[in-house]
Amino acid sequence: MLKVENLWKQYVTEDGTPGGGVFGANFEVAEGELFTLLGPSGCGKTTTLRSIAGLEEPDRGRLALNRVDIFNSDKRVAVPSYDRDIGMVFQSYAIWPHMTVFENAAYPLKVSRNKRMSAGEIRAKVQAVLKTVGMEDYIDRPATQLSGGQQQRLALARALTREPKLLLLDEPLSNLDAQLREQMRAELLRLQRETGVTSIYVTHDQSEALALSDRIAVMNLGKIVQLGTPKEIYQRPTSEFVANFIGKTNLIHGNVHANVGVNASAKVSTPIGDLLAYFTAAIPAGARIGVVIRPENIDIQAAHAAPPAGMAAENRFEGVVEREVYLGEIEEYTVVVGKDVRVTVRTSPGKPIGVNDKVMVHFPPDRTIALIEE
Amino acid sequence: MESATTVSGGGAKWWRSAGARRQRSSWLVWVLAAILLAMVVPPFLYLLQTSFYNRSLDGTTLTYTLDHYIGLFTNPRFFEHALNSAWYSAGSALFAIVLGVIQAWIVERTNTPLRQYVFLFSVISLGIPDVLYTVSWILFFGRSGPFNAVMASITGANPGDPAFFDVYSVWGMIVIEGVGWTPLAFLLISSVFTSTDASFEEASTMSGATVRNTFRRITLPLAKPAVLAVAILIFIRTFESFEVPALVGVPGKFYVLTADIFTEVNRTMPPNYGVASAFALGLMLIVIGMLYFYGRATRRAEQFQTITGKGYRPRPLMLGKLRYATAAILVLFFFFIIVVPLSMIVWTSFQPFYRSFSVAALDTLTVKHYIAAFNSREVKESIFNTLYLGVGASLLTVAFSMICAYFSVRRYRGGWLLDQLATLPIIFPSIVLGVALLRVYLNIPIALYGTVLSIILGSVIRYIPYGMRYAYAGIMQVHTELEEASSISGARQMTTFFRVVMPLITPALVTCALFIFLIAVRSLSLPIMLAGPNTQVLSVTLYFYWLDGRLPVTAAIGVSWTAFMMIVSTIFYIVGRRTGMSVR
Repeated sequence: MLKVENLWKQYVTEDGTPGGGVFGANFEVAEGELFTLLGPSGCGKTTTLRSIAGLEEPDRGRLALNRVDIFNSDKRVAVPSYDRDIGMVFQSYAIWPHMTVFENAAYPLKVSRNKRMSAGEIRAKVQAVLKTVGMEDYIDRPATQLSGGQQQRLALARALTREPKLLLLDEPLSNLDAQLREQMRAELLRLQRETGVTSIYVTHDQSEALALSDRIAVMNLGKIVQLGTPKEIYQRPTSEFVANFIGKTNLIHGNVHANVGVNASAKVSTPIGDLLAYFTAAIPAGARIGVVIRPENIDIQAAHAAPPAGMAAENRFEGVVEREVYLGEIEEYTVVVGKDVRVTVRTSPGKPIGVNDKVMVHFPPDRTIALIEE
Repeated sequence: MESATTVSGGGAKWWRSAGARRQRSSWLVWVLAAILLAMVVPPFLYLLQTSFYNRSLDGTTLTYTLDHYIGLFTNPRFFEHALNSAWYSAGSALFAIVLGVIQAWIVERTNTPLRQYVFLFSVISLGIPDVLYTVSWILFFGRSGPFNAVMASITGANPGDPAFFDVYSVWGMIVIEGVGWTPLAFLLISSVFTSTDASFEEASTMSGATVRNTFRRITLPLAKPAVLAVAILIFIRTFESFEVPALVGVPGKFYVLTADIFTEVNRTMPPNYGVASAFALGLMLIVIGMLYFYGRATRRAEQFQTITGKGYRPRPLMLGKLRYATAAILVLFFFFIIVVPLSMIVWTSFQPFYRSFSVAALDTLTVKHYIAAFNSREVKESIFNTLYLGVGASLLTVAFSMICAYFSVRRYRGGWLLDQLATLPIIFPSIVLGVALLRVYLNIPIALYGTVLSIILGSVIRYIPYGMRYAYAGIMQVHTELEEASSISGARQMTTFFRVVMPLITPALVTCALFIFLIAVRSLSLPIMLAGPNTQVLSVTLYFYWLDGRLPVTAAIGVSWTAFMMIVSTIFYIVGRRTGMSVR
C-alpha cells in the first residue's frame, strides 16, 4: 500500500553542524494495517512521518502510495501535500480556532478539488463522521470551547472526513492526561478497525505501541533497528537498544565458542555459568554476547522447594534475595546470582520469599535471548 | 481538618484551593498601591476640577461653570477636530499596517535575501527623535525638497506651479506618521506570524487545500484579529500623537485635538486651562472607548495564538528569482525608514543655510553649526537635562514596576490591584497627562513646577504600563520553585528576592530600561507641557529652534543626538535579542 524506500533526510542546524534526521529508512505498510514508528525523541520517526505527509522534503529516496510515486528523488517527483490524499492528526491537534466544530470537520470536503459535494452531502457526511467519534452533539460549537479530549476527537474526525488513503497520527495522545489517554487509545483502535483505514502512528511510548499496533518499526538515530509484530519486538529483540527501550530487562555479558545460526539455541558462557539462549541473529564464534531476559520471564522459588514438573534442567541457578519491592499487582526481587550478578525478577505477589532467603532462579531457554554486544 | 474539606473537592485540584487559601501578604503592597493612586488620581481630579471652574483674571477666585462643556457641544470645533483626528489616525494606521504586513510577510514567510537585517534597522529607527524625524520628512516633501523637485522634472512643471505634493496637508501627516509607525507595526505583526502554530497551516495542506486556499482560509483569518489589534493600537497612539499635528498639521491648518489642547495652554495668553481640560477629558473618553476595543481584539487574538506541540518553523516560501524583487522592497523600506530621514538632516546640518541637494552646494559644506551648537550653553544644558530625564525615568520606572510586578505575579493579597493600577495610566494621552500634571504642580506647595524632576515623574506615570509588561513577563519566567528552594536553604524573603529573583530577571529589566529611555527622550508632548524656561530637554529645544527657523543648527544638534541614540537602540536590539524580549 505504502512503500518507503531508502528515505534520507539530513537536518543541518543553524551553525552548520549536522543535526538529526532519517538515514535510509525502508518499510512497507499493508492495506488496513496500523503501523507504528516507535523510538526515543530525535530518532527520526516524526521526520519520516512528515516526509510521507509531504510537509518535509526528503534529500533522497522513494515514497509510493498504491504503487504511484508521491516522492521520487531519481525521477524528481514530489506530489504536494494537498494532492497526496493523506489525512493527518497533529500532536497539537491544530484545530482552527476561527471555525466551529462543523467547519473544522467539513474543511477537507470544502477545499477538495476533485470531489465536489453539495452542501447537503457535506453536512450529512460530517454528521456521520462526528458521530463515529462521539462529537455529534457539539457540531455547532466554536472550536475554542473544546476540551483537550474533544479537540483530539475532532482532529481525528477531520482527518477521516474525506476518507483518505492513508491516515498519519503524530503522537496524538501525548497531550492528554493518563486516564483520558487510555480511553482514547481504545477508541482509536476501535475506529481504525471500523474504518479499516491504513494508518501510521508515531509515538515514543512503548506501551502505547504494543497495545495498538499490527506492526512496529523501532527507530534509533535515524535508522529502523527492528521491525515486527508487538510480540516479536517484545519477546525477540534483536539488539540491546530494542530490549532496553521496550520494557525493563536484565542483561548478562558472555561469549560463544562456536558459530551460531539465526533462530537457533546455543550455550553462552557467562560469569554465572553456561546459559542456554535463543539467537535472533547469526553470530560468529568468539563474539561478545549480551544475554537479555525480561524480569517477568524468570521463574523464582525457594531453594529448598522441589522444582515444578516439566521445568527444563538447564539455566537453573542459586542465588540470594538482596531486595524485595512490593508494587501492588507484582512483586519485584533483586537476586544476587554467582558472585556479583544482579538479576531483577518479577512475579505475582504472595510467594513466601523474603530478603536474604536462598532462592532458585530459572531462565526459560526460549525466553533467554542472545544478542551481539553493542 | 482544613485539608479534609478541601480534599473532598475532588481530583487533582485540591492543592490549588489549598494554595489559594494560604495567600501571602505584605504591607509593601498597600504602600505601592497608595503611591500608584497618588500618581493617577490627583492629575485626573485636577483635570476634572479645572474643566468645571472659571478663574477670575487676577487668578484668586474660582467660579463653578459648565461653559467649557457647553462650548464643546455648541462650537463645532471640537467635533470637527475630533473627526480630523480620526481621519488622520485611520489613514496613518492603515498606511503603517499595510507596510508592516508586507514587511513581516516577506521576512517571516519567504526566503528573501537580507531579510535578517530588517529587525535591526526597525529597532535602530526608534533612536531618531520624533521632532527630528518629522522635520526631515517635511524637508524631504517640502516645496523645494528633493521629492517635489524630482516630480517636477518628471511632470515638466514650471517653477511657479503649485508643488506636486503639499506636505502641509492631511496626506502629508498620514504619510509621515504612517511611515513612523511602520517599524513597530512590522515588529508586532512579525511576532504574530512566528507565534501562530505552523501546524494550523499544515493541517490545511493535509486536508487537500492548495497554498492559495490555505493562505485565504487559514493564514489570513488567523492573523486577522492580531493585525486588527495592532491597527487599533496604532490608531490610538496616532490619535494621541502630538509631534506631527504640531509640526505639520498646525502650519497646514489641519487641526486635531492634541494640537488644540497645546494651543489653549501654550499659545494663548493667559492660558485657557478650562477649555484645554474639557478638550483633554473629551480626548481621554475617546481613547478609553478605543482601548476597550483594543482589549477585545487582543483577547480574541490571544485565543488564536496558543503555541502547542513541537513548534516546527514553517518552511519558508521559495520565491525563486522573485526573491530579488522582494529584497528590493526591503531595501526600499530601509531607505524610507532610515536613509531618507537621516540624509536630509545630515545634509542640512553641513550647509551654511538651508538649501536643497545639489552638486553646487557641495562646495559650501561647513561644520560651523556643530561648533555653534556645542558652544551653546542652552544646548549643553538641554542635553544634560535630557540625560537626567532618560536615566531617571527609566530607572525609577523599572525599579517600581519590578516590585509591583513581583507582588502581582506571585499573587500576594492585593497584587491584582497593583497590576490594574499600574496599567491605568494608559488612558492618559501624553498631552493630556501634561496638562493634568501642570495643574497639579501649579496647585501643590512643593516646588516641582518647571523642574526636570517634574518631567521625570510625569514620564514615570506615562511609562509605568510599559515597564509593568516587561517586568511581568520577566518574573513569569522565574519558576516559583527557584524561590522556594532559596527559602528552604534558609534565606529570608528579602535575601531571596535580591539573590535569586533579581539576577534572573536582570536581562529583562535592562531591556525594559533601555526601551523606556528611548521612548522617554524622543517624545515631545509631555516635556513641552512640563518643561520650564531653564529646564528644556532636547526634543523641546529642537522644536523651538525649528519654529524659530534655525534649521541648520536644529539639524546639527539632531544629528549628534541621533548618533548617540542609535548606539543606545543598537544596544537595546542586542540585549533584547539575547533575552528574547522585544518591543511591545
